[in-house]
Amino acid sequence: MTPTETFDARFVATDLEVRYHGSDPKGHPAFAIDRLELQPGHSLALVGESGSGKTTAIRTLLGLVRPTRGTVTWAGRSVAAMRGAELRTFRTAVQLIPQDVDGALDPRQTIGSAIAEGWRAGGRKGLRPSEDQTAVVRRLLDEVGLPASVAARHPHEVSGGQRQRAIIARALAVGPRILLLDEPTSGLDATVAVRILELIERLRGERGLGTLLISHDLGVVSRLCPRTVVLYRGEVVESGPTARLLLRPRHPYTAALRRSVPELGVPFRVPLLPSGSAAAINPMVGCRYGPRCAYALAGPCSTRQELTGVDEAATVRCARAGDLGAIDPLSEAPLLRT
Amino acid sequence: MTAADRASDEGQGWAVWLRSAGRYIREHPGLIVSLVIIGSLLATALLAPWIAPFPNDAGTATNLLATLQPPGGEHPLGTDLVGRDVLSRVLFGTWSSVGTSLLVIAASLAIGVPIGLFSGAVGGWVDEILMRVVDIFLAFPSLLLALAIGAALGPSLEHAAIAIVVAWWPWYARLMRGEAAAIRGRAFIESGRLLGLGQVRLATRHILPNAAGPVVVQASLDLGGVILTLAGLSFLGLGARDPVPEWGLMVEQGRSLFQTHPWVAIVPGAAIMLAALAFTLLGEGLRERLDPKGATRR
Amino acid sequence: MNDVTMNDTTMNDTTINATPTKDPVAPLLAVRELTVEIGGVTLLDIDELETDRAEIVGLVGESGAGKSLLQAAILGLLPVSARVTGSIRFDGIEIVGASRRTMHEVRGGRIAVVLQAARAALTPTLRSDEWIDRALSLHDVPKAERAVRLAHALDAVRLDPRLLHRYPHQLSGGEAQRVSIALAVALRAELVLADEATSALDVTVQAEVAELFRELRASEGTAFLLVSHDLALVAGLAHRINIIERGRIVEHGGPEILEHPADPVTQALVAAKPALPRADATAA
Repeated sequence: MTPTETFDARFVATDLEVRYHGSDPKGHPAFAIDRLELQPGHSLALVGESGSGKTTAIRTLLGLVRPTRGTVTWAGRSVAAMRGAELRTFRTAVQLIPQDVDGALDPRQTIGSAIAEGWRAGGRKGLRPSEDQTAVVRRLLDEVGLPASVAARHPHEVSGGQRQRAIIARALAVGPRILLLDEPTSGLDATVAVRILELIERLRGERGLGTLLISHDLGVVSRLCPRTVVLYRGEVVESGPTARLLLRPRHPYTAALRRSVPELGVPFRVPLLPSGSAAAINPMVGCRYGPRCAYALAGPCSTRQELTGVDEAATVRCARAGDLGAIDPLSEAPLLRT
Repeated sequence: MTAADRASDEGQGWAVWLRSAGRYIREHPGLIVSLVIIGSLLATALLAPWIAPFPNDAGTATNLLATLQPPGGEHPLGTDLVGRDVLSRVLFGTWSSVGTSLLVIAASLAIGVPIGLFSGAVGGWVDEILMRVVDIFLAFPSLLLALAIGAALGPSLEHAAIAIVVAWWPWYARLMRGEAAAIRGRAFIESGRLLGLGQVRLATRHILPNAAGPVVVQASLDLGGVILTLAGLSFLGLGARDPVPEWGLMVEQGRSLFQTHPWVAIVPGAAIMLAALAFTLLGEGLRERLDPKGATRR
Repeated sequence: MNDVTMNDTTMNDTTINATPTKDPVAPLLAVRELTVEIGGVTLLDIDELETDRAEIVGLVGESGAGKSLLQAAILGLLPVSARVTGSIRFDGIEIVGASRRTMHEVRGGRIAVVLQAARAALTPTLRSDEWIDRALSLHDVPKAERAVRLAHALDAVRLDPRLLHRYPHQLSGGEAQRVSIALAVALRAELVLADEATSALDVTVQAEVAELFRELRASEGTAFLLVSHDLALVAGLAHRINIIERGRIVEHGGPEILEHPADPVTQALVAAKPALPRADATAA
């Protein structure tokens, strides 16, 4: 049951740009976005491969990296300006489930102790009458589907999937409103991954959490998030309802992502090779995806692309979006392979 | 079914225990030997007043009628220049030598570890400044530094101990700082920060336990070195003064008599060697268990 | 069934180096009745697993199923304490109990390996061209021929020649993978063991490398044993699929076994890969 909000529990990033210290100021920022908004009860996916800026995005949202421009606010207050108790409140409201599950737990601490520590740090939320710390830990373990015996174990004594669940339990112990999940299923066996996804779905519903999911796995994304933002080399190339992005993407990169996902019973897709014009595109000046794009044309794609609205729910950054329309990712490209 | 299974089936738990104890001893001979020796040394230090045949000889008593007796009879290890029983003096000396060394190491850790932990956990310019101070101390060869301080303070066992602490603590500070800085960069520390844990809690509950291994190993290896250094200072006349039965001083007192009455120097010398060896073995054994990648350097 | 341990070097070398059979019908790699036991525990118990020449065969299983152990057995790289029974025949050469000299020739030169950690598989202190050149010389390829083979390999894997001058840490995961594959082509390996070769790559890069496998099979006649936990990826490429669980092959056959999986392990693997939404719902 969602407690009534006494404040606007919104997580907003505006006009954000992040450049790393020492990087070329004329080059592309590591990550840039006009606006990103997240609320309890809502879900958003950030899809991208390596170099897309998704890691930078998460770290900036968490306040671990200071943006070069723009602000990240929580409940109307700028995260960068937070200190002390206010920062701690933010930390307990927004929790990260990191990609590196193995390194995220202190190897010398038992899992029960780690969860208890998180619970105390979060202000001992959710303590029921006649319950003590041990009971709370046991309840959280049960909520993520772990047996109580795990509490006495160390991280290396349990399986990868169980470590993942333990980290989720600790994050929940803090009592967050928003969960950031960084590649929650990478490295997990397919059957284990399915169960983790089920767990996340259930917890999200029961606790009314907002979730930001980072993944390159479109299967995971399609299951958990109704909205998706696609990143390529630090910028948003397309955003909109997930189902639409998967069925009728408007950006060639989204189509390439969709096309590359191996599916049972579907003959293997030959990835599209860039057309002859693609070689002529300079990504520093024109479209960043140009050199890899099967649909690139020397003219329109050689200038900086802007993000335009397709309708009120979707945006795309492609000079050819108008004439390409929606791409069917599962058909052959209109352009020939060279 | 292994023998252990059979044994436990038959309710013979002790056989299982003996078997695994035997295997442990075979696999870690150095550790076991060192623990046995150290245990004996500590027992000796505590029980010396009761087990020494001539306890007063460790103090001011002399027996000029029985000077320089060779080992045998009433004095199993002989007597020294003023007729004091060598065995009794060596037994009492355990406290002076081994006991003082333990205190020296404890004090060095008490100063060096918090400084190193703070420096490594906080980082930034605080870290830089602290480490430069440590560097200044480290620039002096530790033995010379101890000698200089010992000479300045005047000879006594206590002063020698203080001198060694001043020379020794920077090593632990530096070692601890290195480990702490490395742990600070690990993912679980950042995880803890994201939970809202404060700096202090992160440093004491998470960085310290993970960083302590190499420091513990180094400290136990150093015990042997401190025993030798203390003996060396006393030998040079900068440490304990007569009649304190410190082993190094006893070796010095027996030095001129070595050709004719070797036992006066050899017995305390052998004690020094035994103690130093025991602690070195302990350190090596601990290193295997705590610091398998051999991060400890000196 | 001969009972041998891997460090048995008393095996007569001449029986191993017999002229390989050139029987076109016999499989390139044939694993039969193989058991591997370590520390009293039987970790592998394979009745049969085959790869024909120029065929892509898949080995799919979850972690701990025994995939890596089977590969180690095929390469003759099991731990010394392993007790092996059964037979692994590669082009007529018996690998179980083979001498070191035989394995040195087979490993790399005839059976190549592409690993999951792409950059880590390359020598960090050698540039890519030096690395390939060194490997070619270790397999007794004459100097004059090495340049030719390298050029052909680059072309076959579509590797940008400029990348050859880079050190492994300067390459992306996909590029490093291509370098490993280029080596396999340059050595004219008949079988490539791809051990989760694409698991650590971005999905678009994975697709490109998978397609590359397919092309190499056609152009070079290389056989592939794709070892992976990703059933869908393997299903899209392989002519035959083996499902491994707890050291045993529980199901095998062509891609049709995925439409009607008989074994519960296969069923679970299939169920874990739900189809993504498709525009044309009536498409097969």
